[in-house]
Amino acid sequence: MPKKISNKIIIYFSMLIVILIFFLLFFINNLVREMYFNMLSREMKRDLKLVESYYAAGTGENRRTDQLIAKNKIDRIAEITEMRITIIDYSGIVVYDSNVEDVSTLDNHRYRKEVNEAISVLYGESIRYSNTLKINMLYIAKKGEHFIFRAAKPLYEINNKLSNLKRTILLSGIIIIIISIIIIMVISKKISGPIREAVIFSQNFAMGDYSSRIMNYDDNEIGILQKSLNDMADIINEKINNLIIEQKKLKVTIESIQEGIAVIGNSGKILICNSAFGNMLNINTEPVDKIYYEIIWNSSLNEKIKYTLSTGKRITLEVALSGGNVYTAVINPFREEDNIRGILLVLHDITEQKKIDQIKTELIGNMSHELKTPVAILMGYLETMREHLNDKKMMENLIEKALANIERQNSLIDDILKLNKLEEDIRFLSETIDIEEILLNCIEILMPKCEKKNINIETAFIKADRNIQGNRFLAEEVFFNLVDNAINYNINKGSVFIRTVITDNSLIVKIKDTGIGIPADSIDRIFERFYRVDKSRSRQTGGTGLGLSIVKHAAELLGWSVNVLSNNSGTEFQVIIKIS
Amino acid sequence: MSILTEHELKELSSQIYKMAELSSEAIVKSVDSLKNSKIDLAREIIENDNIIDSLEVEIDNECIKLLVTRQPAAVHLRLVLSYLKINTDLERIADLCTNIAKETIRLKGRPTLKPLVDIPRMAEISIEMLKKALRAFSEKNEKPAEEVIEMDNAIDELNLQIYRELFSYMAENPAKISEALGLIMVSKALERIGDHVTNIAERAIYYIKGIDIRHE
Repeated sequence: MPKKISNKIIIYFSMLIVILIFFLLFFINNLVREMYFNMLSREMKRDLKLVESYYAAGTGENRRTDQLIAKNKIDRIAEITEMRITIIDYSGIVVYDSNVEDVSTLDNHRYRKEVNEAISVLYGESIRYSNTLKINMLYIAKKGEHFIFRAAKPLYEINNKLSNLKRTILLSGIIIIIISIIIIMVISKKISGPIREAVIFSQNFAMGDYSSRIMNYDDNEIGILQKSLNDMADIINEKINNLIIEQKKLKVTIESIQEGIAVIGNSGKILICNSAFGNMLNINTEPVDKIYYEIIWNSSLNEKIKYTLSTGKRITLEVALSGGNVYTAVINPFREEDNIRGILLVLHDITEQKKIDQIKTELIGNMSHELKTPVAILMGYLETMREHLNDKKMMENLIEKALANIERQNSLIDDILKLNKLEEDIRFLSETIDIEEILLNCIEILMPKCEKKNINIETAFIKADRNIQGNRFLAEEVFFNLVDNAINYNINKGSVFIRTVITDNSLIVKIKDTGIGIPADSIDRIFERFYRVDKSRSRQTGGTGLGLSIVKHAAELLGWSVNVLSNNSGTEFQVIIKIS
Repeated sequence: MSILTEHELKELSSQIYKMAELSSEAIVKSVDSLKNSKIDLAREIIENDNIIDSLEVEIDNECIKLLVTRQPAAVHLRLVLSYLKINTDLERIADLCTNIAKETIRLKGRPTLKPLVDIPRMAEISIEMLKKALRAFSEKNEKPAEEVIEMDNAIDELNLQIYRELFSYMAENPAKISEALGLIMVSKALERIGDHVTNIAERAIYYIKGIDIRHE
């Protein structure tokens, strides 16, 4: 519970009032007491003069009677003025006392304070406890011609009066304290109320309630404070909103980037990162606020990050991360006044790029190999021929072989040109084609090959609307190559099944062989140029290695799709032709 | 005597992480070399093992230096002692990976008995376990460590399954015994890797809670 300003004000003011009242009490008390004493002593002195004059009268001729009369008169005075009157001679022996009959019982008064004073300076005064009367008394003594006259008055009267006065002052003091505390409370509430309102407002604001404002402020300093608090709240609110928008913008921007991005502070903690970053590193925990090496489980990348964090040098490297993907990682330091504040790590997926590069390299290697082999063989035959120009039989044999190789070279170049033409995406004429007729045509062309390998071709064509929009040349390329492959990669005395099937919206041509099948991990690659499942079988089966590439491109141009199903007892190619 | 600073601890844990990363990469590479018959990669693993060995010595020295000069107490003492122990475990993991690589080289050129499925699976689980065990250290949270101890059962079961399967292959075809034995060795190595990772997880629990749960 915090201390309240109003409490403080109330406590201080009350203390002030209490002190004031006590001072007042003290002063008034003293003043009244002094005044009273003065008055009393003046009266008593006057009375003593009277006593002296009576007593002096009793010293004349009729001494005894006069003395008695004087004594009676003095007794009267003492009675009326309620005083005790004592007459003492210079040696201190009491000769008369109004309250004591037998004065001889009283002891010597010579060294009583007031008597002593009176002897030396005419008047003496003292306040003492009277042993005779057992009360506090005021004594006044006057030096006469032969005697000392002393008057005494009890002080209980004045004490009673003074305590009455005190009580009155105290009572009114308490009333004043209560009234003033009430007034102070009201005033302090008035002062501290708006301050408390401002405090509550700023506390709420700090807790995140940005919408509330202080209502109806006064026309004074506190009112100005409240107004400026409101203004401040407006400005802060606007700034916070702007920051939120900025942050959202940044987040959306970073998230929309395909590259994995992470900002790592100089303490090694990941400050910001996008979800692509998490996906690339295969993280299933929240990476923000973790140290980079707890997240990036790659020793070479972490080493480079550490290096950049300490030296501030920009580094680009290639890393293989989990899942076998390859990334280019760019580690870029960012600085603030020459100090490295952290690094920006960007991961760019180059797996596809790498694959394409590899395919290209393989293609060039394959192509040069495929083109060079027939030439080398041809060269060998020609050299042999030069040495055996006279051996006609051998010449004929060699020329046959050389021609076969030239033919192979020719068909290879034809295929490359064909593929090139198809890849250039030339618009082919759209015409009505008859799939069955094209298939039969292909089979007829390939019949001699079948007979050589003892392969049996079985066909089952469905009678349906066989007129399909397409291009005859392209369709021939698709089916010729597929049937050719089915024969080439078949076993001896095998079979090729060619069937057509009609589904709801497409015609499917299925070409199935009884060969050895294609391994699962090669299926994706068989449409690549010169790709061969078994490298050693390439020349045995014939073919240029471009057939399926041609099929793929031709089918794409026609808008057809080609599927492959394969197991170790054969391969089935399905050409799916959409019928509109 | 001065107090162990946060900086020194961070430096030490980054070294441990590096060791763990190198070990996990060794697991990935060794299984990849076996699966895809990459002899060159297998040789690389055997060569790179001395990097891990020298890092182990470095970390050991660092731990001993901290123990002697800083005389850590309570949680810091437990951390340094744990690092000292898991360092050995990580080095042993890398050693087991070189064993796998050696098997790959020995089995060179032979067509594999069957497509490898369970062995890569074991490797995946053990790497996941290793990551979790180290996460327990850095997050001071025993939960991932407890999960690691659970996951080790999966590895043990896969190991038994591989044993049974390979026994049947050996019984069918004595010519395949050599290859099947090689695969059994690999499976055994991966099972041992799982045990070492479990040790690391137990160390993590010791570090976090101060209780030893080994052999329970």
